[in-house]
Amino acid sequence: MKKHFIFFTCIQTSSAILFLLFSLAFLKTVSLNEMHTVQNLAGAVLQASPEAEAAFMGALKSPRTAHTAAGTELLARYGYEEDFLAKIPFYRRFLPAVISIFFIYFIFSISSGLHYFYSVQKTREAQDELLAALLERCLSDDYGFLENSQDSAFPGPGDLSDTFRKLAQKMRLKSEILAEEKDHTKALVTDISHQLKTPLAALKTCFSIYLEADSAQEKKEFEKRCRFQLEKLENLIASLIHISRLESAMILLRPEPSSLQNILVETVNAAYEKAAAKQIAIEAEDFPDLVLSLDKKWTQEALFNILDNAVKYSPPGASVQIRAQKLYSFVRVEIEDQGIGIPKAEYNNIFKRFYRGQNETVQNSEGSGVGLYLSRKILEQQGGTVSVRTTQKQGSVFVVQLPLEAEKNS
Amino acid sequence: MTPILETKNLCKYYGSGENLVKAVDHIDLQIAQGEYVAIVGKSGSGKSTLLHLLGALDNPTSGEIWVDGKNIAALTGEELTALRRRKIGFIFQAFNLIPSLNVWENIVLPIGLDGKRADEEFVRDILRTLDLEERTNALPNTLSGGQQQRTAIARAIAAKPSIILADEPTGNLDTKNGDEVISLLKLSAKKYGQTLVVITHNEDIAQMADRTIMLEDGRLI
Repeated sequence: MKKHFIFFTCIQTSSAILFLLFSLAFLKTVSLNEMHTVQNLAGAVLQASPEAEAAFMGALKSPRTAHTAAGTELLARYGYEEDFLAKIPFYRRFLPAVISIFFIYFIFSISSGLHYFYSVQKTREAQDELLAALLERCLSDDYGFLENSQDSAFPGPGDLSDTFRKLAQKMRLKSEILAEEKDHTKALVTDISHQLKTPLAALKTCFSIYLEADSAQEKKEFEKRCRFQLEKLENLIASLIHISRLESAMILLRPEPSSLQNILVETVNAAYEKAAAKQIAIEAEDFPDLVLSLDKKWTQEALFNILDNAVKYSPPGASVQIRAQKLYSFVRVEIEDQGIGIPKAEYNNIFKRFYRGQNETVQNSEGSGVGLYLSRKILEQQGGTVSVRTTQKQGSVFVVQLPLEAEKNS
Repeated sequence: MTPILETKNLCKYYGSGENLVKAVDHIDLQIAQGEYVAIVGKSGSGKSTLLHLLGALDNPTSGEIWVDGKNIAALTGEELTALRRRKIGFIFQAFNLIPSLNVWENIVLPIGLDGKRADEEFVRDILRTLDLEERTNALPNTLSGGQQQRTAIARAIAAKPSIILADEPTGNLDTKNGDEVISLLKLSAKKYGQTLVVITHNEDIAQMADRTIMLEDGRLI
């Protein structure tokens, strides 16, 4: 494009310069010719009558029109009219030269203009073709061209090529995410089957011992154990259903204006029974209510999982504190317990799927390692975060942050 | 996954002989697009040096850095400047705002330096997300630490970079403000599809990342 523009400008400038040179030459020749005419006239008149010198020089120095009337009349008598110069062969010869120069200039301009136009069109066509080819490659999920760092491989000016690159990258990312999700689902299925295997094996063992039991007491004991394993399985399956729905996006979080106070009250209500049985007090500090754009049901589920853990791992008679504070862009909800606490080394793991703490109390209590994973997933999908801190005293604090402004994209 | 940021055998040494300091020692790192990675390590572990190398603010002693499919060693000075302005957003512990410019001017300055016009609608959207709408005309010294860091975040996001590199972004903030800043970074990165690399010595903050990379004596552990 730039090249063609330079070519076009060069042609135009050079023809303009040519035209200028010609005009200068023309003017010089014309003035020389005029001078010759005057010299010729002066010579003839002065040779015939030398005394006319003063009159001639006077006429030459006086204004150009002072004697024209008399001159015109004299010359007209001999047939020299106003256009007599044009009749002189010298001037006649000039006319075709002027016309041809004009034509040459005209043809130069037109042809360089056309050249510019066609080359721009050709470049654009080449760009369009390249763009179409690259788009085709995008369509067939072939993003290899992104690895080619030569920007010249991209059509169009810098901005367009940049945007195109970004678009292609985004598409590549999306297809990679899709592929990753597929792997993820596979891993999920493996994980779930693995999780189901253990309690099922336990149940099977209990049941066969129950069938072969010798005494009524043994029968009763293993019936109890069977029931325990069945309940465990039931809980596990309920959690797994939650997970798989959330992971396979069968659960779409539907944000709606919800009162934070309302959500927290419902969460506490759900945990109340378990807490009351352990004489654990759940205390919440008063805070001005906020309306957030959240999926009420699932946010409650997320908070419940945290609160449920707090109750589960706190000794009887302890208390659980809930605090909420409005920050600039987020609301910070803290759930503090006086439970067994979590070692720092496990901070990164407790939110992972099926992870269970190394602590003996955790290993011995009910749970499938799903709750906190689910909580993090739900909160993050709504633009929030969850993390855990140690307290000065015994126990842990879970910090949940929820955005005040609903995320537009979700 | 195609990495947007990759290092191959990256080294940065200072001094020589007995005083040789291996700030970054043979690091191979791959960071995928859209990922939120926390690089955690004690002070002196080489975190900042690594981040400066990733952001093309410093030259490695040996090894390669690939940003978005380009080996940055092969770029000219001009291309490198363009890369830093367009592809990478920086956030520093000390905010690094220009005191004589107001919030809005600080945010759009890098875009102006790049000879482009700021996408006003987009910047307004960021200001809304970061709750800075009412402080648009305020000068940095009239803002709280949290507000200053949010302005720095807005500045980093406004040029729509693919990668945001943050060096101890919460270092000068209290816990609550720090937590909020990290959540905001995470929210913005998700909203605008950006890759986020945060270096910190604070493990509480690292918890919120998709992946944590531990650094000790210039090496990954």
